[in-house]
Amino acid sequence: MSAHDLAALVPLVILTVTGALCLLLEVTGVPVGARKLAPRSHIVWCSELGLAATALVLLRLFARADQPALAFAGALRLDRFGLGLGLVVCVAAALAIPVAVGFLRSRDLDRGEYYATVVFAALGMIALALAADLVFLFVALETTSVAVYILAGIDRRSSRSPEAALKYFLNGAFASGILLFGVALCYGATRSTAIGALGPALRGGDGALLASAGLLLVLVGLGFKVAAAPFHMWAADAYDGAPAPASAFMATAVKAAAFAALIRVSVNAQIDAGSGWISAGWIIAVATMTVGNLAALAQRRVKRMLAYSSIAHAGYALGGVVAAIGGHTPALGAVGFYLLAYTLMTTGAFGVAAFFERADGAGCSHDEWAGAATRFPLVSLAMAIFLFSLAGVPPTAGFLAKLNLFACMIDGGFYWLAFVGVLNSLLSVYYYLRVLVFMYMRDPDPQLAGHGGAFVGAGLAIAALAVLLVGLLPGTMLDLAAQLRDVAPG
Amino acid sequence: MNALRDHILSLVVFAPLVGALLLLLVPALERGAIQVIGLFWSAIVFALSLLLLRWFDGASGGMQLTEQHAWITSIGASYHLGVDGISLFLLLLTALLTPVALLASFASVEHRVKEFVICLLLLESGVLGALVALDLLLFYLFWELMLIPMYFLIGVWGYRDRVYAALKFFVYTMAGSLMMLFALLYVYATAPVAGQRSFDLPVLIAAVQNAPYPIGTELLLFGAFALSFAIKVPMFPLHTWLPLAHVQAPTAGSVILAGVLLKMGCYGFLRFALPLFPEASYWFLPPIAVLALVGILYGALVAMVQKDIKSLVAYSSISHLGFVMLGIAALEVKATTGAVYQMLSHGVSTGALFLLVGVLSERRHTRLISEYGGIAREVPIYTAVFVLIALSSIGLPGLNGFVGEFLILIGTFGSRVFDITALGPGAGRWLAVAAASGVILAAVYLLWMVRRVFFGPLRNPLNKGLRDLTLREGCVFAPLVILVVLMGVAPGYFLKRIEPAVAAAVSDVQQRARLAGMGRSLEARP
Repeated sequence: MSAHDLAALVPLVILTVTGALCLLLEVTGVPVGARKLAPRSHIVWCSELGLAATALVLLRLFARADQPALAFAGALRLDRFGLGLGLVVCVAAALAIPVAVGFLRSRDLDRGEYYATVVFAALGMIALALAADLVFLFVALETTSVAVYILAGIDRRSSRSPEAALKYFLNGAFASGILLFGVALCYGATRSTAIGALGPALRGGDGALLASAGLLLVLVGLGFKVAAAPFHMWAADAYDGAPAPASAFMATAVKAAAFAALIRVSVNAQIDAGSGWISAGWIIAVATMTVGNLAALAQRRVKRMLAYSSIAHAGYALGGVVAAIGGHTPALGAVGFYLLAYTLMTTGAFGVAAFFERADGAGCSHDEWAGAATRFPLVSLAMAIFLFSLAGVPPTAGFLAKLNLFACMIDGGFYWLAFVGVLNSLLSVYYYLRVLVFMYMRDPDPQLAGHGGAFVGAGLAIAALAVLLVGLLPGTMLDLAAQLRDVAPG
Repeated sequence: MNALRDHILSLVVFAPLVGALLLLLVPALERGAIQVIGLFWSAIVFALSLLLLRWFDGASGGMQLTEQHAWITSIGASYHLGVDGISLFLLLLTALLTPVALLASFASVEHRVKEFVICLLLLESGVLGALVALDLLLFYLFWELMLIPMYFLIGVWGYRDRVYAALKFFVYTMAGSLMMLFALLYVYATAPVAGQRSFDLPVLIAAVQNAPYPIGTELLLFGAFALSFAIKVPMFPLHTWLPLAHVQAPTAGSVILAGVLLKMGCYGFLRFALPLFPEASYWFLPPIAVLALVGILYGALVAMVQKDIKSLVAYSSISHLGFVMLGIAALEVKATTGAVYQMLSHGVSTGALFLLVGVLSERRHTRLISEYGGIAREVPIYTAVFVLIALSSIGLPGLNGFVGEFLILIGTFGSRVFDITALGPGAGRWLAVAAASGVILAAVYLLWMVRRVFFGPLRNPLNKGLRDLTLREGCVFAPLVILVVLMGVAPGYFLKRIEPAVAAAVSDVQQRARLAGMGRSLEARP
């Protein structure tokens, strides 16, 4: 076992132990020191500490990863790209846990399992972000997916949650199958499961056609996971039906990890800048953002609107991916930064939905949020910040991330892609503002109630402040993101 | 004192923001307390902004009191502020109108007062920041920051159709902004800057000066910027959001909207669109001038038939801003100086008109002209102020409106920008003559409205015993009335400071367009 193997193992072990501890703490009961806290606060703290430790380790590895290294005989690649997106996953999980607490308590779901599942999912995602081998990638993806299916269905007594889980599971299983089929074809073409072997195989020789077919299927499988059109159909039902805190995690962390895998595979394939792959990616990016935005326009439920908005944001990020595949490496950092900003604002927005959500998905429609600003001014203010950020209005993280991303597209020569992105942002302004119309400009609905608490408040406040801070002083973040440029083998 | 001087612009820009944050943090206070704090705070900001006058060197046409600090170094955005003669008085006007608007809404805003004051202060910060930002990213940030509070001001505290009006305002403006953002990113990504990329305006201007874009690209880029600014002005035919927003906005919102927000469009042309794309400007100026003329006449004609006093004033804004745009399009020192002057005087007069309408609708809850008539006898002071402001808006010599319009008209008359275009030689003359008819139309619609509202027999019994201006309202109008007279009788004080900056800007654009070959035919003429 080399030093790199050990290094790669540390974050994964920390998360495994954390998850196991969460389960254990549920069984052993409250430790003496924590009796005065609200029930199960110690489990929340335990998972948060585990995630923080993981993030610290990832940061440390990030600092040392100027020379990328392969670990476990090429199964993982410790490079700044993977580690950076691993950090985004940690952020998503660390934010999604506290905003969930209020809702979970109100539905009597506040158990160690929930937190353990989130932590295990994060484990799979970090592995996915680092995966340099197709089989390892598949295993990491399944670890992630299974955990997330459980999260989607965690509210068993609700009518919507199991349905969402089932839909998500069926679609996800289908996607996994396609991906696995693609992996098999790739192996047939290259006699190797290493992602790095794809590029040379595509460039010619006997297996070029087979490798192309394999690559296509792998990308389709991953396209399902990032909810790229036309593989996005499940997303609205899954995100809307799942409990909002679970959606907060699903919509951000899964996406970040799946994008990491998608980028690693597609960039390693070393596609010719002028080839049909680029045009196809271009079309998919445009379709994803447009479909997401158009569908979001018509929604009457905030959660469902956010689901479609997450599809639209996947489309913008895909635009960056296309620029990266087209050979413009700074786009990788721009996509990473975008995913971070997206994570902050989307977790926050779903977190606010979790704040208001009641049994069976009630409390999540525009109508029910009417006049929320008079009753819950701080939560509404946070939601306003998230929505303006999602719409790309300065001075928020969402604006700066979009700016950076579009500038990269223009820089890489993808003028039209950036232009369509800008037009799509305009479209999105309408439906994000509509939520604020209800929250700020309608008479209050006396039925509206929220589950507050210290955790929820802290989670939302941190997310909102982070959105503003990253929007105003993004220097450090952008510098870090600029280092996410190396994903190719070497 | 030196430290204060070095950071005066930051201080002025961020003071309202700090006030807004402080208000956000303090627990619920009495409505009156919040209003007084807001008024006090914005008055301090105004006092601070007066310091600018002291330190501003009127003879210089360049940027003054500049500040530059590193901001987002990795993408080449810096915190770069500066003020020149074009922005100086707009800053002061903004700083003045905010406390005035706050004071005016003491009685009319009853619910969510804290948020209202916060919105106004945020709006002030946004406008002030956009006026002094010399970095494109920073400018864009402030530019959008103006949008959010205005959206809430209209949508939360407005009249019946407020939500629709707010949304329309936001979407229209955002559409323009995003076009500008795209063009801005294009310039950022492709401008041949030595070394690192930059959002810095002087750096970018120098870069595009050394290696101009092909004319086709430049036209598109100018078009994108122009679209954004033209929506903000608003120029015909992009004006449809304005009457709606004005009529639905609360009085304070209308005052700031008319007083300063609309000027940001005109300011954007002068500060960004013309210097960045001088050659394309020459192509676009004639159509802009024609659209400005259409705006002048169309706004005036539509204003004439309005039944609602507020929408009459709103349409008169379109007409007056047409003059401003005509002055900018003439690209001639006199005309453009007049345009800047007209921006100020329109801010004062129209701001005051909206406040006056607000007073009336607070008393009677209607703004229909037909509801009034003969109220001069009931409210003599109010009538006097109204007539004075209306006359200033018409452009009566001796009051503020006259100076700007007069300069614009004589400047346009002699302008040769239009000579080389399809409009033909001497186009400036007929543009000026046609625009002058706008002044006559202004007299028609305003005086006619004044006659129907204030004079004649008192028919409607509800208007009996209408209250005249209170002391508070007197305090609202006093500074504006003083300014109206002052700007009318002593325009030299202002023009002296505006002109050097305008002259520098105008000659810069002319020269560079000439270098680019566009003005060659201009020179060929005797």
